Amino acid sequence: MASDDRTLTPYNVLPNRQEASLLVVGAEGVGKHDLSLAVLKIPVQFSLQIRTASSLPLPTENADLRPRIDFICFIMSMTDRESIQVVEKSLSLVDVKYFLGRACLVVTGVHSHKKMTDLDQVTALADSFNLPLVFGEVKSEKERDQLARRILTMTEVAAGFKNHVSPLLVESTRLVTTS
Amino acid sequence: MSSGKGVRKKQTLEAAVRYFEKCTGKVKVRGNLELQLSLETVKATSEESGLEPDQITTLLDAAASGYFAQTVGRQLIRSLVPSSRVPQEAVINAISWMSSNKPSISIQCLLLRWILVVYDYIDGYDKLHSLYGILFLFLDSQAMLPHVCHLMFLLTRKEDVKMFRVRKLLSLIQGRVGPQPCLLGLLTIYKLYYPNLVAFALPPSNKMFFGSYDRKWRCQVREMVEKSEARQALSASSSLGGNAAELGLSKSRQLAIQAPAKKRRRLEIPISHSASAETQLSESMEQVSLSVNTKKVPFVRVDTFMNLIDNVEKIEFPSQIAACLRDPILQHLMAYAADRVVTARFTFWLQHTLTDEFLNHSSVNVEENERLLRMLVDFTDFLQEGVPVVDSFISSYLHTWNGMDYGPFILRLISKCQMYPFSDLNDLILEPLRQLYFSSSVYFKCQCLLTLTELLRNYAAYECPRLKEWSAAVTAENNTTTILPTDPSLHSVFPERLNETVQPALVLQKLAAFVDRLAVLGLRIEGDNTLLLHSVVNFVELLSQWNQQHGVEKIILPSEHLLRRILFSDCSSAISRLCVAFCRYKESFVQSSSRQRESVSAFNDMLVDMCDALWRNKAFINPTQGSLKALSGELNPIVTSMGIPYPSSRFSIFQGQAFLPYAWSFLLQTQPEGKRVHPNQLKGVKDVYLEFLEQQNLAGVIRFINTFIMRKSVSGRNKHKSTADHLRRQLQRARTTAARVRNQLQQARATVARVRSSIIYRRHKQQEQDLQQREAAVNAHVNSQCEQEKDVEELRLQLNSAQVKARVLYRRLIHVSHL
Amino acid sequence: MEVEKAVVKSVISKCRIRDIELLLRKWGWFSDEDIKKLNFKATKKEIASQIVGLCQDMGLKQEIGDLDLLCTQLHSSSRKWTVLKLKGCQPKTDLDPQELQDRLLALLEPESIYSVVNVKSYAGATWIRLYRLEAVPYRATDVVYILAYPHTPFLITCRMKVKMQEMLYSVLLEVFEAEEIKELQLTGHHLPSLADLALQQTSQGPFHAYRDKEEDENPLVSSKSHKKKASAEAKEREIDLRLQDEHQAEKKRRQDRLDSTFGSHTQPTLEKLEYKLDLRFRGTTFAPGMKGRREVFRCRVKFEGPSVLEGTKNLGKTGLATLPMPRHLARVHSLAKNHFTIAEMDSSKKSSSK
Repeated sequence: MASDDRTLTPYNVLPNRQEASLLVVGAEGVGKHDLSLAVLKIPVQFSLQIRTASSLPLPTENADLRPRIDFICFIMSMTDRESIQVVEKSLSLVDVKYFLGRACLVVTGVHSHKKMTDLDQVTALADSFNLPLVFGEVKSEKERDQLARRILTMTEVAAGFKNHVSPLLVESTRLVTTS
Repeated sequence: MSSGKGVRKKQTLEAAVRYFEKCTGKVKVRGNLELQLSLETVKATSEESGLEPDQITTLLDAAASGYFAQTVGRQLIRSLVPSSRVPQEAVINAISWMSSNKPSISIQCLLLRWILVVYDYIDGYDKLHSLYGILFLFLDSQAMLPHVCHLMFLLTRKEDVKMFRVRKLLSLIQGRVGPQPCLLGLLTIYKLYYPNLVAFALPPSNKMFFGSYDRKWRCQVREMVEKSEARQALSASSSLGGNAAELGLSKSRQLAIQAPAKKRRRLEIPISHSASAETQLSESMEQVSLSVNTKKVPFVRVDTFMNLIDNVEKIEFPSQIAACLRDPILQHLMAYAADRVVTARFTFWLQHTLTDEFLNHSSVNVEENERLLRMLVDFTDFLQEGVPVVDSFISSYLHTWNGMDYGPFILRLISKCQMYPFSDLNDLILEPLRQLYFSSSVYFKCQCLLTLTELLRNYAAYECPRLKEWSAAVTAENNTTTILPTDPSLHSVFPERLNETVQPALVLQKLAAFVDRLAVLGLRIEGDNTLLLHSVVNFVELLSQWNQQHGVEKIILPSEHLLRRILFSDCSSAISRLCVAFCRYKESFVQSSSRQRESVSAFNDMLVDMCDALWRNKAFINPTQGSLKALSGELNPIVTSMGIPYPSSRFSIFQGQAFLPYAWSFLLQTQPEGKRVHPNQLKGVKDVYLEFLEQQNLAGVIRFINTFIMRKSVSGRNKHKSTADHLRRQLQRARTTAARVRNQLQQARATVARVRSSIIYRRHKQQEQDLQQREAAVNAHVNSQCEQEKDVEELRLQLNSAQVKARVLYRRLIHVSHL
Repeated sequence: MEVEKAVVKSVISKCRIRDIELLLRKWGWFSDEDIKKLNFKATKKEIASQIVGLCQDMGLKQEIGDLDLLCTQLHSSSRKWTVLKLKGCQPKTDLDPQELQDRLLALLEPESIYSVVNVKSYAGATWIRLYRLEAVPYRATDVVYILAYPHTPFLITCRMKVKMQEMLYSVLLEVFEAEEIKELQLTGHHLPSLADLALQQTSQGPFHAYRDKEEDENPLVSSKSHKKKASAEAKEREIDLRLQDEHQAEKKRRQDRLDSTFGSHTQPTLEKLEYKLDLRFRGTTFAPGMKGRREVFRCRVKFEGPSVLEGTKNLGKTGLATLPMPRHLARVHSLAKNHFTIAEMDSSKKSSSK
């Protein structure tokens, strides 16, 4: 797959064994910042970098300073119709390699009264890109920490810090049943 | 002060109610201070303590009469919060006002909503039910449709289902209104009572029939009633005690009074009451009922288990079926009767409640929701089978689960799930669980594995036999073509789920393989976490047991990868448990009638691996046997190139990392102090070492070795056995002596201490006494103390000698075993 | 006395019970002992009658108007206010309250339009309350309140009857020695913001930096907002260096741009922005069927919320509105109006908004 320079690829920069970096992509106001801070609060053995972006492609301004992105966490809110569009648009600008266990979609507000997006739409989106769905609220502290932990675990696997288990190995436990 | 305030409040409330009562004609709102003040008083009272039944009736008439502006009417209706019960009369009046068409449509809607909100608190339903036909006419109003449907859904009894009503509903569905969920809901209950009347195929849906309106309002009403009930219960218990029964209150009333406030929360697991008990419409029941035995006994009259047994064939189920979640007698009845209508009603209620509480409005009533889930878990435990509607709820809840809310209950319910074809099971439950598994902490991983193990156990113990019996029954029926058709309800409370396409053995096998994969990768990710390791061993133990315990024919082995992860881990107790599991496997294979050649050879390979690694010091180098044999050519250079001396003995019970601490402490205890110890020294004393391991709670290893290893030099060892036994006996004796001496020493020491303390005590006592006297006494004591101490010294010497003797004996024993 | 009773009743019903005591103290006609005698635990109706009784004993009549004025000052946001501008060579708005009262009475009483006039200075403005004593029964809507800002040509009035408006305007012209009264199309509930918008018309754009400095000295603008902003920035600085926003530069540009149009301070509170559009239909990308239509497509666009200007600014900040914003959205300050009519002209560019 020939990628133009706007696509985000996982292998354009050499990895650093001491570093992992996470990119959080989501529309304004879905809680990227709070979630990122919650992730950074968890003590880890390596140095973790988090970049947030309100949409893709990333600006070219400081592209050479950007570390290799190990894991992309898309985030959207069910209560905000814009946010799923941002995710949809951004997904097309990501290298396919990310969709083999190096990306996830965080969905907030599933049980909210003010749902604007249909759950089926979200599920269809996630299925078409093979994105694991992670549900939870950013607003409540307990759930935010839980979310942060889950994202961190996935990032660690993607960066190879979990006893060299690769995302693909994890994917291999998935059973695709044809019915 | 407060009572004075209360009295004043009461007066103003009475005045306000009187004001509304006397208004008979259009009332101006603008600038009408009296109206405003009265309205405010009513609102304040309803918020604070709720209204009395007669006040409700009066105010409802005022609100529905149309004398007041809509805003006033609306506020009045909203404030009709009962303090305890709602008189049926008020509800009847509301409906008759609606029929007079005086109030506007929106007020009529609001009245209906009010009835729905207070439905559980109405003090009778008989008259209301007789208005069923009138209510049916309101179906024509588009705005009122959902509320009317809901109300009728609650009211419908078997005799209400008439052909013309069904036709009307069908025409509405096919006509301008369309298949709205509320209409379908009503039709579904009709179909339940008379499937022959409703030929319309109802689309299966996971949606709720009736949207949940007025949650806040409902909450308010519930809280108010609870409050006053708590108050009543308090006064009842303090004054009357058991008088309630004598007064002839109905059972539901009693329950209402006795139930502590906690139990009756909004999530309302209703208490049971029976329609026929209240209506006494037994004649009409007889006309319509299709069953022969029409003398129904309403469930409310059944209060003991014996009573239940006597009437079991003719009990009328309570009209609120969900009561069986809290009533153990009803649970028995439900499990016994397995009535289609009953289970369907139960299913509807559950589906509605679960969807409403968990999928649409999560995290509102956490405590009550937890209580409901706990009841469900208990209920499924009681039935020993999963409830299909709960399964479908779990699968949709799991899809959006954050892995935290109601965690233990959700996992318990997963483990109670019914058996489905594996592809369905995978898509609905396993896949979401897998995603959570890999992104969550090690503790969640453990819970997850335990849950899946429980699910497997549940399948093996209950579901497989159930399905087997069922299919046996079906084939028997096909063969003999008996007149009596097989009744699925003999096999399951929820018979519609008995699915012939499920192949239990296959599901078990695939599920086990799935768990196996999760376990291997989980262990790898978490660096063989001990807790996780034990969860995994649990799974292996289940696999090894279920042939004998649950009669599963197919013997399923853990994968080689899983075996090696446990075998090469640093957790000795896990290895010991694994060993026990393998002993069980052997028993299973021996007893198993069917030849399972493949499994046997795989099992043997694994066994060789284990023996090589644990006992023979031949790990990785066996080129002909064991699960690694294909790889051994490749593996050996790698193993040797790692630069570790004797790699093949690195996992044995003598030198393996899991056992090294035991070896070390064993050598330390047995070898003379200062001698350098090395595990190689164990070679000759294997038996004693094994005994030592057994003392350290690692009996599994010994059992494994005794079962599978033919000890080489049995005859050679026998020669020395008697000497060894003799020495062992001597050692034992020496040890007991030492212990006895140690006891004596202890006693002597205690005496000395006692004497010392008494000296001090007396010193204090005799301070005023003569100096000489005191000196003499002290001297005497000191003398005696000296004597005692001498005794102690002697005993200590004795002990030392005994210990030395013991050590010498021990060394000799080892020497002998070397030979 | 009927009217006074009604006035007290309406004042008391507007206040919360716990505020009544404070109000009475501010009013200053009752001594401490009088206030202590009142029973504040009774219903509002009873409190009102107690106060009326006291007033009767003390012979207070005219002064009850002051109480009403005081109450209006404290609850100014419950009324809807309109901004007026006096035109003329030199409108005289800096009259002494007493003098103003005398002049007004002299003009109004003979005509028997209004017979009760109360004037008070409060929060930098002169507050005027007009009421006709003979009007029975008392109606709160008949009372007229006017605010004059000394040394400025601006008046703010509450709603009044159209019948009265013309007459009152002519009286006002005479009192303030102006030639014409013009209604700015600026209405709202939040008085300080209305005053701010009217008085600081020229402060948008390059002036805002200068104005920020001056802000503390302006008695009409509270300086809290500034401090709040500073503390928020300090908090922002604490953030983890490991966390970086990829769009930081862009956001900064956006913020700068917004600050240059709106100013960096908290925006004045307006509840509503209303646009009447007499334009051709522009949203043809969303409704291609309308492409050929040339005639005017009339519509009305309303922005409503607790603080519309702040909201507009935030729209720009989050990137939901394209920058630069159209003039009628960005220049509300300098136009000092919140009701606009946008007609088809050469340069007014209004694309379809919602």
